[in-house]
Amino acid sequence: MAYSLCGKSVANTGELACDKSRGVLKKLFIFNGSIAAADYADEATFTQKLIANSKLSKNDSNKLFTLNEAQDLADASEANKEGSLNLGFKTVLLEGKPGYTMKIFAGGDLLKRLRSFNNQTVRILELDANGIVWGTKSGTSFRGFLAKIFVTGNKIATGQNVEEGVVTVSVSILSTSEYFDNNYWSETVGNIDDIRALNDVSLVYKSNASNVFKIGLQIIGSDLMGGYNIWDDYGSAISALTFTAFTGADFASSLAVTSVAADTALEALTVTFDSTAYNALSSGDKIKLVGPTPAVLDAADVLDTEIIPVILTKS
Amino acid sequence: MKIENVNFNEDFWRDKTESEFIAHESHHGLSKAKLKEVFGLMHPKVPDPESKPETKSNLSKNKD
Repeated sequence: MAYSLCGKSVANTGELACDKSRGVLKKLFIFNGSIAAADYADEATFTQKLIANSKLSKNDSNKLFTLNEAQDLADASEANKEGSLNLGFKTVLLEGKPGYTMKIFAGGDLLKRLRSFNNQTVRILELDANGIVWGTKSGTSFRGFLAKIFVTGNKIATGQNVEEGVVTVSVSILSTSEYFDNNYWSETVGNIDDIRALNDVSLVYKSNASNVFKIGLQIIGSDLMGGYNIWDDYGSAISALTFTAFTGADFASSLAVTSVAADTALEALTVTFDSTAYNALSSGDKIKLVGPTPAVLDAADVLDTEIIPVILTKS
Repeated sequence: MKIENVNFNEDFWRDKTESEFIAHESHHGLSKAKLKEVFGLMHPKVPDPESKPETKSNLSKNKD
């Protein structure tokens, strides 16, 4: 019998049938929040939580950002650092950190938005082609792997390869222990494409007569001629929803919005503030107009939309 | 409450008067009659709990 302390630190080497391993990456989710145990009680609940989190405001700590589907993958892991002795022994001294590049299709405007994540330390979830979501756990909460991403693209196409609209996302994993030793997975149920990416729709000041403001709805982009006016798509539906306004220091005081109307000729909202409260403001005071949340918009069939507040000035 | 492309804030107007409402929201181009109608819809008359509706049996008694 050999004397051994191994049992204190090693695991048995048996394997379950159909043991999971990472498949080909399908989608990457940037997710800095966490999913509580109750929300991964079963696969359907877990999938619905991912969908719901994708429809949160980008200001919400549990917001899930989804990237377009991967079209090309390449391993970019750092090689293990090896050492040798001059009589022929060689061993791994240090494990290289995992990393990979993923090519997705994205236009110039989306590229700009994706590049806002460059050099940020984020957490990511990986959805593989087998419908398995991979992440890690902190306590009982499921969360993403700590990573840095860097996005490049929109170089001039050479006509030699598929280049136009192809964006490269470089993913660098920060922790091998999270990624390899403390990874957890869940299968998904239902349509994973219900996990949505939202568009920022900015409220845009057009004009005002005293307490009555005309407000446009635009997706700001690179078109020199101006942003994309969403009025024909959702103007009427949005005008039927509730808007709120705030003023004062840190916008802590509520200012009542007494009505919101659809001005179809101007393709804008007519937003009316309580005249008594508005007239009590000083010239130059700021008003923050806030639209309905993405979840409220989604419930009203205004899809894939987050309304960005506008700061108005009392003239 | 949305009437003819105008979404009125019912919570705000709940404790206001009809004349305040009409003066404040007349810029939308709705007629005064329509605004009065809207205000009425936002302020449904609450039935008086004291006046009980006549039951069928009461009606038959009255006939006698």
